[in-house]
Amino acid sequence: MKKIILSIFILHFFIVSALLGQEKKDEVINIFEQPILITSAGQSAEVQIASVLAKRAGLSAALSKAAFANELKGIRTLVIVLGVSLKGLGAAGLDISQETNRVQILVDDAQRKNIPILCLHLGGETRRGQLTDDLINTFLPFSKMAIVVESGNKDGLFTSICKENHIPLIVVERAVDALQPLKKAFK
Amino acid sequence: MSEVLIVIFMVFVFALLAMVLKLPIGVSLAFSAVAGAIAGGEGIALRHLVEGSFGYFDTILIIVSAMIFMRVLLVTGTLDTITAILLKTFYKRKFSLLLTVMVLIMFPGMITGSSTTAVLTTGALVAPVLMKMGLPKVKTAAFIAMGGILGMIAPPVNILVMIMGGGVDMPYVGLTLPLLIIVIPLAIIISLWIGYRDIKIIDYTQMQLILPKSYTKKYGFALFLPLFTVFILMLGESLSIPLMPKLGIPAIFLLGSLVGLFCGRPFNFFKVTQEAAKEAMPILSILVGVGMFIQIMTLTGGRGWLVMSFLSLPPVFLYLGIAMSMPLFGAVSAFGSASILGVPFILALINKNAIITSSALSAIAGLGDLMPPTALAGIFAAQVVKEKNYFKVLRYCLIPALFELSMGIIILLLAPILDKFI
Amino acid sequence: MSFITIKKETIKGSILFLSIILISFFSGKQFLQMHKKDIIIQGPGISSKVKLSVYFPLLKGTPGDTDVYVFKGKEEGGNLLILGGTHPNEPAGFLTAIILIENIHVDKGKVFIIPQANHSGFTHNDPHEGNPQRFPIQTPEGIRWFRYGSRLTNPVHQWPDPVLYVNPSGQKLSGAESRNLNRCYPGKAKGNLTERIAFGITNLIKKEQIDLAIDLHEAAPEYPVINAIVFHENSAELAALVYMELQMEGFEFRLEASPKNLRGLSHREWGDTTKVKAILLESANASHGRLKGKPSVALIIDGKDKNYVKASRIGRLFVPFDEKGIPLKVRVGRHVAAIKAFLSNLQEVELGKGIDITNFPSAREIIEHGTGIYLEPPK
Repeated sequence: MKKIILSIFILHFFIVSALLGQEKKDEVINIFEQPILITSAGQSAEVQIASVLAKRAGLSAALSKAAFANELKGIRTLVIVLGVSLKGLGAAGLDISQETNRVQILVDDAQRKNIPILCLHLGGETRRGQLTDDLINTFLPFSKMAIVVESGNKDGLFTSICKENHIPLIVVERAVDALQPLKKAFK
Repeated sequence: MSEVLIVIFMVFVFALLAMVLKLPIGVSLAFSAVAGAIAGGEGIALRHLVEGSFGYFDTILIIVSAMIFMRVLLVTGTLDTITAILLKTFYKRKFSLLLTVMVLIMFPGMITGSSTTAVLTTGALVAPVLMKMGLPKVKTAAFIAMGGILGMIAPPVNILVMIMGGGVDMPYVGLTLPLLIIVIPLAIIISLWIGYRDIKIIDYTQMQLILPKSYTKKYGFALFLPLFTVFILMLGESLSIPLMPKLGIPAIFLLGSLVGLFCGRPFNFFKVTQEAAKEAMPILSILVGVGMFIQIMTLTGGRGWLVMSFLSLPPVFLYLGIAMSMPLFGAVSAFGSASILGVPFILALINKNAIITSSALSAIAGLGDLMPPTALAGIFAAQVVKEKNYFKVLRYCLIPALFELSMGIIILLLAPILDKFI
Repeated sequence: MSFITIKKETIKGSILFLSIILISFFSGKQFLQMHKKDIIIQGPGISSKVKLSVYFPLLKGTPGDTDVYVFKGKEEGGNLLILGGTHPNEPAGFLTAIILIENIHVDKGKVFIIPQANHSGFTHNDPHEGNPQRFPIQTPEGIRWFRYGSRLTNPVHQWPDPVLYVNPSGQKLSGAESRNLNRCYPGKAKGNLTERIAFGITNLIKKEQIDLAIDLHEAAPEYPVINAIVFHENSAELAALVYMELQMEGFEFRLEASPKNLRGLSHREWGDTTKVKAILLESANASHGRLKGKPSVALIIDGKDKNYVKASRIGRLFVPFDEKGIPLKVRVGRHVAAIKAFLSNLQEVELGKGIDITNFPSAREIIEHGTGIYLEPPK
């Protein structure tokens, strides 16, 4: 009996390690360069959190919530923080179609200039919904990597888009846990 | 008793009292509210009954003061004089008569956001003209009622949108164009629909025959002073001109009425106020009754159940739900409908431009002023033309109301396209 | 014949008149109950209690004058203002302020707490909402009752409403909003009562050189800005730090920037007209939502409502809502946790502006054992 329990335990250990190894495969190191431009898609306030995270990670980052293409000058990585907030859009004096256009132009320009894009979704479950989902579907496919908070990926939307487009996806439990993967992702 | 059963019970008691025992509507509503409170285990709930009735305190004051003002215009001779002027100007121009009259009716609604104000002021002024030009009295009332509602929706002041905007943090900015897109076609279509067939072009002699007495020669410009007082003070309220006093609508009407004492035919002010109060009493009692009814319905959970039922309609029926529930809930008041249902509906349509959706929803909620038992626009329009049964008026409002409803729904559906142009 | 008619009318009239007198008497007695003040017990840490009229004398003797509880630390530091009861139908804000008043000691910096920012709003209820006038809180040694008021100033104190309200910042609003304190900032010295209250509060912020001001609110679960920290752009970094700290402690919040085009609100006007870092906190209160079922004391305290459970299931809400509801203790706990997180991060963004408070209530304990454990026993 003891042997059985022991072997189950060992087997369990291997399975867990294998799964953890699987997770580690997704870890992406040193693929982005600095300086960084952080902008929002949807004007949710998580863009502020991204900025604080970048600061904590010791990265050279500029925050421009409603950045335009001309701000990409000298930038080596574009970070897009996904999430629609009506209050935020109001704060920026934008509506959702203007916001989508702005980000589209920015993304197109980044592509032209070979500036890689890193997408973040830090607001979790509460920052999903039709408007945000539209932005995710539109812009996530352009990114080179994505970091998302787990509760925002409950329905697997990020997983499926990333899989389809071969984008490494890092899922963290809380926004604050994005600090380490963010740090590692930059040279 | 569950909340659904209480609602059904309250409606049953109301129907029994109003239809079988023929008690006045207001009294029936009040008693059915008491019955609902008892059935809901709240006892007589005196505090709630009184609190509910006070929900319409301001509306009641507006109505009483507007009725006094209207009577003053009648007894001073202003009403006849204005009828005479309008008749002389428009007796051979059907199209421009209808459109001018429509704009005139709408005007007080546009600056106060209230259909009652429109119906009871310029509505009352133009009613005799329309009737003298051949429009039957119930159709005239329907014309005025619809004009009042369109005035309430038209810019610059649309309280319904403000209430909905307040619930979703949308500032009242940029609404003029979307509201005009809704109101202008409706104003043209509705005035022609109701009036074009019946209004007759007459010749000068025929006009002379129906021309009421004009008092301008006797009293001169002073005759119009009560009207000017009211309009200027109202404009001051809505445009918020600095130094203009903010008196509130009831005080404005009372001031206008007092000015009337010195301009035109002399009259006994107390007698006029008494008559006006007496005339207003049935609708005032209905408002008090509805106030009690809705408070008890909320208290017993019925309101929540009703709102949830509308909101939980499957998405395909969402527009149908909006089209049905918002005018229906207007039985409480159009403003109540905007606040209780309008806000959740804007949120349900959140992926569309809120400025457009709230404008469209305001057009639909505005129709609540035609919904019995309050039916403010319908009841006062009937009173203006001296028609006792306001349901006859509502019958002629049905098609125009359907125009307005369809317009609202079309704008909601087209919101993504309109968004690009606005 | 005519004699009989007159007599009949007289009898009818007398009965009507008498019933009006009776109804007015009995209901009036109940309405006057709302003017009975809530008992807020001064905790041991209080340095002084002043009136808001100290900061704006025109408020003196008006129903808008309200108590300001002042806590002064021995050491110089930052200055904090906490506002509860801006909307008296949002009890979590009011109760959080009371709990702080009855417990905290300030060692460094200064803390000002106004538990009933719109005092007039506590003296009446909103018609057609059917809310209870008071709600009980169980303390270890008995029950304390608090008023559940209205979102707006009492019309008895400020009337009539204008047709259209243009607030001191020029925003057009529906007339009733002229009685909504959180639409009247930065206030107006010669304005209506509510604008004068707002003016008094803005004056306090300026005069006391407040560094951080937190306005405590609640919102209906169907409102998009909920369980939220709303921040003025001058406090964006602070808000983001707080958000992360709260997350580490297991509290999920939504971070929302204050819209620039929505004027008259505390988080916008305080930040624009003074140097303060302006913050507004929202928790989810089913008892003032449009979809609420039967209004009751239980709905206020336990926050359970089957309509909201249903609404959540069909995706109409902006906050998770299940059969367990969102009780008042959780809402107060969230406010307390957020205030604490703001205090611990203030020093980081504003050197030398730290505020040290001892005896700060524990959010976890409030959530677990109820708000009563931090309230003094009833007098």
